[in-house]
Amino acid sequence: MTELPTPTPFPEELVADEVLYRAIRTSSEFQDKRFAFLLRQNERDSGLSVSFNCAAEKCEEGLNKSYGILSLIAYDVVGLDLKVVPDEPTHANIKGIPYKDDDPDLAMWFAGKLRDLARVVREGLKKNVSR
Amino acid sequence: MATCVSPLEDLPVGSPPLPVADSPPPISGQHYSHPRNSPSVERGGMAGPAIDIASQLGNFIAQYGRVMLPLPIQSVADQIGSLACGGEYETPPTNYAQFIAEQIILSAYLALVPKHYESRGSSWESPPAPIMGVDDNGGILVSWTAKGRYLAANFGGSQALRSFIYREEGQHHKSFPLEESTLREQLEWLTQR
Repeated sequence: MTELPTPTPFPEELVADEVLYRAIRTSSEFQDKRFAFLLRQNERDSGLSVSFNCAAEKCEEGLNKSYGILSLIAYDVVGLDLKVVPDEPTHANIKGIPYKDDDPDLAMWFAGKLRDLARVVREGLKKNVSR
Repeated sequence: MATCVSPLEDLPVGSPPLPVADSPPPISGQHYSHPRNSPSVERGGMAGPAIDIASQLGNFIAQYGRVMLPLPIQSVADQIGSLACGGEYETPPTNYAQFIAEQIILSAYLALVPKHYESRGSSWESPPAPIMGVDDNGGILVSWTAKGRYLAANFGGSQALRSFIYREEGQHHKSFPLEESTLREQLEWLTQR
């Protein structure tokens, strides 16, 4: 008897009304929220890291400090021709955004578009966010 | 790691003109070592000519007399200097990024100042206060917003990393190589009516 593959506990892509959360890590990201949507060096290959299917505060876990939380709707992100690809039940990567060194124009443009789509879920400095 | 020093910290505001000839200006601190002696500049990391800020400043004061330095320039210089302070960023700005940010932003602002004095009382206005941050490579990212226009300058953390200027207005957006003259032109674009 052939064994069926075990289904993953999350979809291959998020395309609907799933809420995505991104932490604001610095005061400058708080002041110019476009900065919060630029890929970090460690996201260059994987994509922009977001949390989903969880409490908003989960995206701050493990950070030394957080200046707040921004949210996006997956459907809106997909509308920019980007993909939202989960890799864990509560974590996904937004793929298709170039790193600013590779394509400054497009990286800054996407960051601006995501900022326009984003809503502020929480504002204010939180230090030593629990792991 | 960059030291926590404001670029204009040692500058005697409102003092008599600084020497503007070939002799080095009497400004202490590593941030204002003469650019011709600076390895960062000699390596040719940035496009365009290296600008001697101290000389420009000296020229400015010589031309306009014992005046206070325009507040926007002092405050921008302080902002750049403070990026290395307080442990705000997990990766502090590199000396390279801080040096080129000081060079290019202050030079661009200084180049705008005479225009301000020429058109005093008319419509010229100084650039809005910038927002500055540090990326995870120690690069410095600066942005200005005015009149529905957005301007950003990215100073790479090292010579190997990209430095650029980006501007956006409505659906139009464009990036440029980072040069003092381009930043000055874009700051003029940002504030023009």
